[in-house]
Amino acid sequence: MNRIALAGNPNIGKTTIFNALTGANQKVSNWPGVTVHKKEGQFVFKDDFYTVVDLPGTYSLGSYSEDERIATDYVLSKDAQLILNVADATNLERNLYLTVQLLEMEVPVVLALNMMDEAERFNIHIDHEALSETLGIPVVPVTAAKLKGIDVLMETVADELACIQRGTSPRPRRRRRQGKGRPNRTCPHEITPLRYAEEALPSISELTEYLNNSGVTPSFWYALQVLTGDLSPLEAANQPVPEAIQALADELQKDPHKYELDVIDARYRKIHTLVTTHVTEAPSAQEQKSDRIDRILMHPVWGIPIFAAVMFIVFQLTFAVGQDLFGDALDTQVSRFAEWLRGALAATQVHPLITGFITEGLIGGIGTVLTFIPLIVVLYLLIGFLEDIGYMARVAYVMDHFMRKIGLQGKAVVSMIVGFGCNVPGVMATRTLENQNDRMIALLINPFMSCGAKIPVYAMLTGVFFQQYGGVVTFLLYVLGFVIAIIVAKVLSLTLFKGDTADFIMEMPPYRLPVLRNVFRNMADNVLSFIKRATTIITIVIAVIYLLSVLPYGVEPYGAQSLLGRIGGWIAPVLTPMGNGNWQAAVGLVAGMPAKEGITATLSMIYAADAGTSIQQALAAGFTPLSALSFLVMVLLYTPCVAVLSTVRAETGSMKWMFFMAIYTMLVAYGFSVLVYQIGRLLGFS
Amino acid sequence: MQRLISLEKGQVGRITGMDLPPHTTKRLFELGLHTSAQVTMKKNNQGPCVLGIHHFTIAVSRKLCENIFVTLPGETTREVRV
Repeated sequence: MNRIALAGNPNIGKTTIFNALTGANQKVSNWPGVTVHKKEGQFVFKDDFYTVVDLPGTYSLGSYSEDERIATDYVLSKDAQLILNVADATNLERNLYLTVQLLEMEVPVVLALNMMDEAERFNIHIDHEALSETLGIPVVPVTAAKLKGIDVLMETVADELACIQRGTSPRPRRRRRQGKGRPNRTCPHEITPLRYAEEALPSISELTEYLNNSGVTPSFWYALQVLTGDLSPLEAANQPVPEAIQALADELQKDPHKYELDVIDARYRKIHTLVTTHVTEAPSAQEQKSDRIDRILMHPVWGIPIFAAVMFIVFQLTFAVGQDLFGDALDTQVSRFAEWLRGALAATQVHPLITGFITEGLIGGIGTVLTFIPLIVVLYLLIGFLEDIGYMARVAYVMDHFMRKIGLQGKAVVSMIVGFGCNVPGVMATRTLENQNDRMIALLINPFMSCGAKIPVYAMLTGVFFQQYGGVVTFLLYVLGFVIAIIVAKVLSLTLFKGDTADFIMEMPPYRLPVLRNVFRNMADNVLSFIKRATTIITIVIAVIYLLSVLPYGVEPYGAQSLLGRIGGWIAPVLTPMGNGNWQAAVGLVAGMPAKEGITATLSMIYAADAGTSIQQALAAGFTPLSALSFLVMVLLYTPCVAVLSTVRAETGSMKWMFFMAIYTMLVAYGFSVLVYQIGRLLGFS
Repeated sequence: MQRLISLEKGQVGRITGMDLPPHTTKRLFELGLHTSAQVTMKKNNQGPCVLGIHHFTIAVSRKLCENIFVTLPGETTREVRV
C-alpha cells in the first residue's frame, strides 16, 4: 500500500492538492483552519493505488493547539511512507520552517511549492532545482488551484515511493525530467541527516552522537527536542549519560525554555541562508491592493457594520433568487407530481395506507424539504464566495475587540461562521483555539449559529406569515442566534470557564479572486449532505411519524386521536406559554431532534393532510404570526441534532458536556421563545 | 530599541526580542516573528496590530505587541528575551 501524507502551513492549498490528487470534494477556503482533522482519500496513478492523508495545517511540529498536535503525532507515527510537504511559494521563509523540521526527523519528503502563479505576480523567482539539490529532496513547483504541475507532482511522488519500496536494491536513478526539481540521486537514496547550528547550540553535537549511539533516532531531531525542554529522549536512551549531557539535562530541568528560542532562531538562520541563496525577488504592487481593501473592510468603526451589511445582502439574495425565483417554481412542480402520483396510485387501487405514506410522507414530507434546495444552493454559493476571497479572516479580526468583551477572542468567530453551514464542522473548528476555556465556550455556543437544515423551516413559516420580509426575518433570526450566543458566552466566561482568553494571533490571507471550482465544490458538498440527510434520517423520521399518525388503526389519520396526536397533546401544554400549545407544533419540534430537516418534513405532512386546503392555508390556521415567530426562535435555539451532540461528546471526550449542551440549549430556547411570545402579546401583537 | 506597539503605520522595525510567556514567544517565532525578522506596521489604531512580514500579513493583539521589541533602521541591536 502506498501511503502519503500532506503536511504544510494552514491555508496554503493542501486540501486543493488533496482534491486534485484524489478527485475528492473536501472543503477548500481562503482562511486558516478549514481542515481541522485528518482526512483520507485514494487515487490510482499508473496502475498503482495510493492513499493520501490530508493533515490539518500546522506552522511547526510542536504541540501548540489540538490541530497541530494531530499533524505532529501523525508524522511521528511514520504511518505514511512519504510526506508531501506543501509550501506557499510567496512565503517560503516561514513555510520552510516546517520543511526543515521534517528533514530533521529524517522522513522522506517531497516539497511542493504551491501558488507559483502568485509568486510570479509578486516578482518572486525561486530556483527550485538548486533548492532541491541543497535540501536533497525533490522540489516541484505547482499552482494547485489551476491544476498546474499536478501531473509532475504525482509522477515525482510515485517515483519516490517506488524508490522507498525498492528497499535494499540500489540502482542508479535515471535523471529524467531535468528541470523539474529532482535531485540527481540514487535509488533508494540515503536520507542525509540535516545538521546545522552545531556551533550555536550547546552540546548539540555530543547530544546527537550520544542519542544516535543509544538507539534514539532520528538523533538530531531528538537532540533538538531535548534542547527545547523535552527530556524524554534522554530517558529512552540505553547508554549511561555522559557528564556534560547530564549537566545540560540538569540545567534544562531547572529552566526547560532556556534554549527553546535558540533552536528556533537556529532553524531560521538555516532557512534564511537557503532563501537568500535560492530566491530572488523584486518589488511588487500586489500587496498594496490587499492593504487598500483592508483599510475599508477592517476599519475600526465600519468593519462590523460592513460585515452586518454583507450578511444582510447575502440573505436578501438567498431569498430573492433561491426561494422566490427557483424555490417556488420547484414547489409547484413537486405539488403537481404529488397530485399526479396520488391519482395514479388511486387508479391502481393500492392500499390507502401505502398511498398515504408515499404521497403525504415521502412526497409531502421529503419532497417539501427538497424544494428548499435552490435556497440552500444560493446561500452556500454566496458564503463560499466570501470565504474564498479571504474575507472571513477579516471578520475574525474586526470582531476581536467586541468578542473580548464577552470573554472570547476574535478567532472564535471562525467556528461560529462555519456553524452557519452545519454545526458539526462548526464544533470541530473550535480546535483551532489554543486556550481550553475559549474552546469550550465556543463549542457550547455553536448550536446557536443557525445551520442550513433550519432554513427550510424559516422559509416555510416566513413564506406564510411574513411573505416579502422573509429575507429580513431570516437575517434577524441569524442575528438573534448570534446575540444569544454572545450572552451565553459571557455567562459561561464568568461562571464555568473563568480565566483569560488567548491573545489574538492570526494570519490574514491575501485577497484572491474566488476559484469557482472550489466555491461550487463546497456548495455541492453541503447540498449533497442536505439531500443525504433528507433521504436517509428524515425518511426514517417520516416513516415513524406516518405510522404514529395512522395508529391505532381506524382513527382519522393525523387526527388528535392518533398516537401522534396524543404524544403531541401531552407535550403541547408545556408549549402554551410560547403560543404553540397545539400538538402539531409539539410533534414538529420532537421530529427535529434527530435532524432539523425533520421539522419541515413533519409539519408538511401534518398540515398537508387538511383536505381542501393548501399547506400554507393550513399553517395560517395553525399558527398566528406571533406564535410562528416564537416557534422560529425555538427552532433556532433548541437542542441541536444527534450528529452535533455526538460530535460534542467526541470533541470533549465527555458525555457530561453532551448532556449539558442538550439540556441548556433547550432551556435557553424555551425561555427566549416564551419571552418573544409574551412580550409580543404585551405589545398588542397576535 | 522600542516596543512594536509604538511603530506607526508604514514604519519598519526589526525584531530584537520579546517579554512574553515562553509558549507565546515560541508561537510567534514559529509564525515568522522571530529575532531579526523585519516587520512593517500596516495598521495600528484599534484592535490587534496588523503586521507585514515578507509577503504575508499577520494580526497580533495589542497586548502582545506591547511586549515585542524592535529596532528601527539605523538603531543598534540588543537582544531581549525574558
